Amino acid sequence: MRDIVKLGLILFIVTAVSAGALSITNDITKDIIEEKAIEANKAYMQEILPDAEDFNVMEGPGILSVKGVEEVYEALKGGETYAYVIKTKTKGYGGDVIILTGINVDGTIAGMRVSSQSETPNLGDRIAGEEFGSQFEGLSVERELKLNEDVDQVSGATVSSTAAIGGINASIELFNSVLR
Amino acid sequence: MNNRRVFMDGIIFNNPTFVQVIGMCPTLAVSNSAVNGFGMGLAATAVLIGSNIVISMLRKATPDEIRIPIFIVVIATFVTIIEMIVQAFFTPLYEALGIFLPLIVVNCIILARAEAFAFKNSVFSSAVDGLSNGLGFTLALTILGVIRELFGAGSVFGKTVMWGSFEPMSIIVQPAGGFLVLGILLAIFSIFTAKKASV
Repeated sequence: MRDIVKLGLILFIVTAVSAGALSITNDITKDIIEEKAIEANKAYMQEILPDAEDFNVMEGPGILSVKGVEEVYEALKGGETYAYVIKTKTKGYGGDVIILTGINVDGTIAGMRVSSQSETPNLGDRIAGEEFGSQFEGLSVERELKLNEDVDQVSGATVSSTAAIGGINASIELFNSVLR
Repeated sequence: MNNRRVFMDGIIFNNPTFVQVIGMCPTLAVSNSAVNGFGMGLAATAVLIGSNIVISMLRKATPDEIRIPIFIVVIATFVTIIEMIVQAFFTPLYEALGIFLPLIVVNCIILARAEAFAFKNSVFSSAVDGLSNGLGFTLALTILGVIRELFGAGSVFGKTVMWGSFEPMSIIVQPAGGFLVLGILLAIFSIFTAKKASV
């Protein structure tokens, strides 16, 4: 009986010290991690919309009503909203595919960037490449986009291409149902 | 045991990857480029040094019955701390390593060194052992990474080195290629170590 208490106590001390060390590290790194995540998004958004002067996170009912939509930003130029950037998450071949889609208020796609993916190297990961991504620029968002009709898929990577266009279609749906 | 010997053992004669052949999961998974392999190796080295030192310090106060839970707590703590630091200050590396960074916690090299070395030796020797095993792991991962990146993507540490018309061999950076390259390296490594043994 004594032994159990003693063993438990030793284990307790070790875990308590560990927990303390972890909470200190968390305090130091938490803010930096958050800042970096926002910065990374901003860099991509600036690439999609080079004219934008500022980006604001949009909140409110309905903003996240479409499945797959993670975050929505409005892009400002001269104090007016001239485009939206929508961040979506879809399932690819190797994990989540996170895409930022820029849609102008006039209903055309300004561009897209894949901000995170773990698709097959040299194959599925080409969805993040220029050749695939630039096809979307200027397309109208009147209706849902179809693979191999509106844009060509990455050959040999149907699942990855479908994930990419799925994310963009979620953005289009949100734009048409809520933002427009 | 003298520390020089401990150091050489970890890097070459008892190299965790090429001789002990442990920690294969992260080895194969993240060695698809030189930077990833190198970064993973350094992260694991930091964990190894930290956990070896702490476990060695606690070795006299740790009853045998609960040594494994204590090892696990210490290792998990170091892994989590390293994970947060890498995420905050080396974000691109964090994204490249993905799930394999937190999974350092189940890397058997670390538990193996705690159980086989740190629990029985002085704090300083344990630190040397952690450093040398970590560097041995880093060395192995970097060699693998350089070879796989060179043939699989035509570059080394992200810089293109192959001629323009070179078509990358995709299979080398995929999981199957990891096994192929590792197998060839293991064979080459054992040629040298076998020679040494027969002399």
